[in-house]
Order: sequence, then C-alpha cells, then structure tokens
Amino acid sequence: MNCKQVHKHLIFYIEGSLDEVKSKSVEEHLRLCTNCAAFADMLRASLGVIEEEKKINEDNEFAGKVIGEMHSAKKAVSIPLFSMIKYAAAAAVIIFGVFTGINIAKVASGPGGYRTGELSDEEYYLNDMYQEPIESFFLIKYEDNE
Amino acid sequence: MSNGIKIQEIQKSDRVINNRNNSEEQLIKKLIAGEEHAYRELIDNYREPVLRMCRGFTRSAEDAEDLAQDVFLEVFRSIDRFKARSSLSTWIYRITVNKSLNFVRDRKNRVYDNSSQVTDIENRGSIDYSAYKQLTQKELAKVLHKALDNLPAAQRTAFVLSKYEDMKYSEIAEVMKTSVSAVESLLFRAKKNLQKRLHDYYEKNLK
Repeated sequence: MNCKQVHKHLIFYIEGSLDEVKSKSVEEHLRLCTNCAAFADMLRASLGVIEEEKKINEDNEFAGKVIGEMHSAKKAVSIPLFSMIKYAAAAAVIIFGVFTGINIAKVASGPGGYRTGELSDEEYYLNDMYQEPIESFFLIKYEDNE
Repeated sequence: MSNGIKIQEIQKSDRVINNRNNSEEQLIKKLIAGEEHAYRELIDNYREPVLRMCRGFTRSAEDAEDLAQDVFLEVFRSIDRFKARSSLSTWIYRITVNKSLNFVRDRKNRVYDNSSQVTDIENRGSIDYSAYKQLTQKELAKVLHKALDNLPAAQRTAFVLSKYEDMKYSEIAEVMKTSVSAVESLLFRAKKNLQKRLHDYYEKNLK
C-alpha cells in the first residue's frame, strides 16, 4: 500500500473495523512511513478525545435543576395568560360601554326614532347654536345702515 | 427438547418486553399527571445518554449540560403529545438530536469567541508532524469539534450516535427515521470527511 491507499483506510484501521488483510498492509506501511505514522498517531489522539468526553460525572443536582427550571418556566407561562385575561376584560368593558351608550341614545330619542331639525321652545333657548351671536347682530345693523 | 427451551426463552423475552412496556406506560401516565418523582425517574434513566449525545454536538461540558436541561424541559412539556409510535427512549433521543442540531445552527450564527487557543496553534508556523504532541487534550478537543462542526447534519448525527452513545446501526436508523443501509453510508462518509478535515488541519498547521 502507498500513502494514498493508507489514508483511504486509516480511520477504519484506527477504530478497528478494517479486515485483517488490509489492517496488516496498513500496519506495514505505518512501520516504514514516518509521516503517515505520525498522522495516524494524531488521528488516534483526536478520536481518543471522544472517549474522554463520553465519561459523564455524577451530578445529584441535575434533576433538581431541571425540575426547578420547569417550575419557573410554568410561572413565566402563567404571567402572559394573566395579562391576556386583563386585556380581554378591558375589551369587554369597552364593548359593554359602547352598547350601553347606543341603547341609552335609542331610549332618549323616544319611540319615533331620531328627530328632524325642529326644536321645542325650551330647546331653542337652551341651545346656544340657535341663539344669535352678538357680533352678527351688530353686523346686520351695520349692513342695514349702509 | 431444544424447541421447548427456545419457546421458553421467547416467552421469557416477551414477558421482559411486556414488563418494560408496562412500566414505561406507567411512567408516561405519571409524567402527564405532573408527578415530580416521575420526572426524577426519567432524568435518572436518561441523563447519561442524553448528556453524552449533547456532548457530541457541543464544545464544552457546560454547554452540553445546558442543552441536556433544555432537552428534558422539552420532554416534560410535550410528553402529553407522545403517541407511543416509537419507544420512549427513541422519542427522547430524537428530541435530543433536534435540540442539538438547533444549538449547532444557532452557534454557527454567533461569533466563535473561543478560537484564540486554536489560532495560537495555527500561528506556530512550520513545524514537524510530532508537534501535535504539544497540543493539550483541550486543544485537541477543539480541533476535533471544529472538524465535527463542518460535517453535514445527518453525517454528524449518525457519527455522534455511533461514537458517543455506542448505538447499533439499527438503533441509529430508528432515531434518524432512516434505513440501516443509509446509516452505514452516512457513517462511512462521516468518518472519511472527519479524517480529511483533520488531515487538512494538521497539514496546514502542524506539518
């Protein structure tokens, strides 16, 4: 085997999944080629990291941490729910107000529905819009004098 | 006679499976009911495999622990949606893989701020192959994870499940919802790619 062929099989050789014949050929090449042998060592060391990382330490607090997180997450979920209820209540009050206003207006306008522009005597005197402003009074007088 | 023994063995293994299914069913019911001791039982059963898998996708043990916590929170949040189409363990491992891949994707979007040590190694200039011996275990881990980060998601998932959790091909296929032959192919390509990336790194920085 040359260097290129060895590189084709190297990782499988290191993990031990290469068949016996090929393994022997790789081994032979590694004995003679220092470059490939050094790279094989590096690859072995890199993959060895996995074996180290797989070791899990005991942690008696892990379950407590997760359950604690879960309870605080539940609380966080319940706060938006509360504010949603608050907004819904506010919207209900506004809708109730609008409907009440419309109904009061209907009752106030009497059985005949909305009236036309005619006003009663009391309304005439009580409604400023129908009073003659003092400026117009003088203006009319001035125009008459001309 | 031998047939009789075989039948007995089959019946025995069926009983073991049934007992396991029953206890799993009971555990799920308790989890849905929100019983705290059931949460603890599930964490005790799955903390190690979940942590090991998370470790394969993260660059530090701290990140792996945070990720594993997220996995369990997700499991508890969605346990009422578990339809038992697969085993509980497969379902948990799928959640672990999905969470981990999301974590990797999010991390890729962030600036990798821990690269200073690796950069230091990269700046050592032209040295011989044996320079790898100067790398500490921590630095080697960074180089390995950098290479793993560059693997496509499916190849990486298959690799992590195989190497970090020592799963059989059939188990990986179940978690990844694919065929055994697809897993074989993914693992083959993952290993070749990993070796190539590590070789490129060493050629560039240590040769």
